[in-house]
Amino acid sequence: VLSDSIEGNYSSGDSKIENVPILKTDWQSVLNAVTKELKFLESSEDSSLSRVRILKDLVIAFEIHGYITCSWFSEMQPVKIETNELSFFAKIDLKS
Amino acid sequence: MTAEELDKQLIDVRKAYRLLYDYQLHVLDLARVIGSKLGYNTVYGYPAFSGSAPKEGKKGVFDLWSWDWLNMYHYKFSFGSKKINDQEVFFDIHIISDSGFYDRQSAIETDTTTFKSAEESVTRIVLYAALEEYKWHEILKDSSSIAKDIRSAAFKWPSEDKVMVYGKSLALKDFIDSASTENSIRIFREACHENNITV
Repeated sequence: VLSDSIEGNYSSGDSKIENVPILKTDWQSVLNAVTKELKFLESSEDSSLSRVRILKDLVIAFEIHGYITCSWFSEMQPVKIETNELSFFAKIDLKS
Repeated sequence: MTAEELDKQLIDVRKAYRLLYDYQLHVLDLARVIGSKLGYNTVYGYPAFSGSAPKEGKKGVFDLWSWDWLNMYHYKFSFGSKKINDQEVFFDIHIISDSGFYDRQSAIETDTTTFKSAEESVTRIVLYAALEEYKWHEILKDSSSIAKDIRSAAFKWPSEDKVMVYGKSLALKDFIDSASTENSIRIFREACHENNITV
């Protein structure tokens, strides 16, 4: 999970200490990696319950410290319902 | 309606189910986040328009409203209270997915054709801060007052001068992402503060 959170942030220009590269990340990126892993585990067949529980606890721990995950409406896929006619329930009512 | 028309209409029904699933998922997440950002982490849920969804094995389900299976039409998330500066402050979020019933005085709950049209209706989030536990359901009984709450920017109870319950009505689109949600929460906090309620 940690390596996943670092991946996106890695650049060769990052600083080095005694030739050991320092890879930077931030808490939000770690949290995003945790939620990604959690979603993956929950959808996979061999999901181990203990790992899911640990990750869920991590999400709560992040929340306590002000880092929150949310599925925002801006990420929701629009759905178009084509029919603009009165609903069939309404039609039934009109006939009765 | 012919069998062919019904078959076609049922495509919309299936689409609507999937859309509502996604919509409710996002509403739940949003309510959780708003509560959390204000420091309220325990939540109790109350359908405010229909009854509760029937439990598994519920006897006599035909006596229930169809609405009971769609209870996020208007739903209340009640977050209990916390103490701020020696003040016990209660916090609630109402999601009014469709104001259509409340917007027309003559509307009948069981006949959606009597509601205001979907285009003319609104979807609102109303944030409430209260200084004392209040009999919300007493206020709720009056649907015309709910309609007023939904449309007017602010709700003050019992009076303009002595506010025990403050409600701020915002469009759901004002919570579309992280930045707009932060902004809406800030607006709510400031408005509460002006009415001597600290959240």
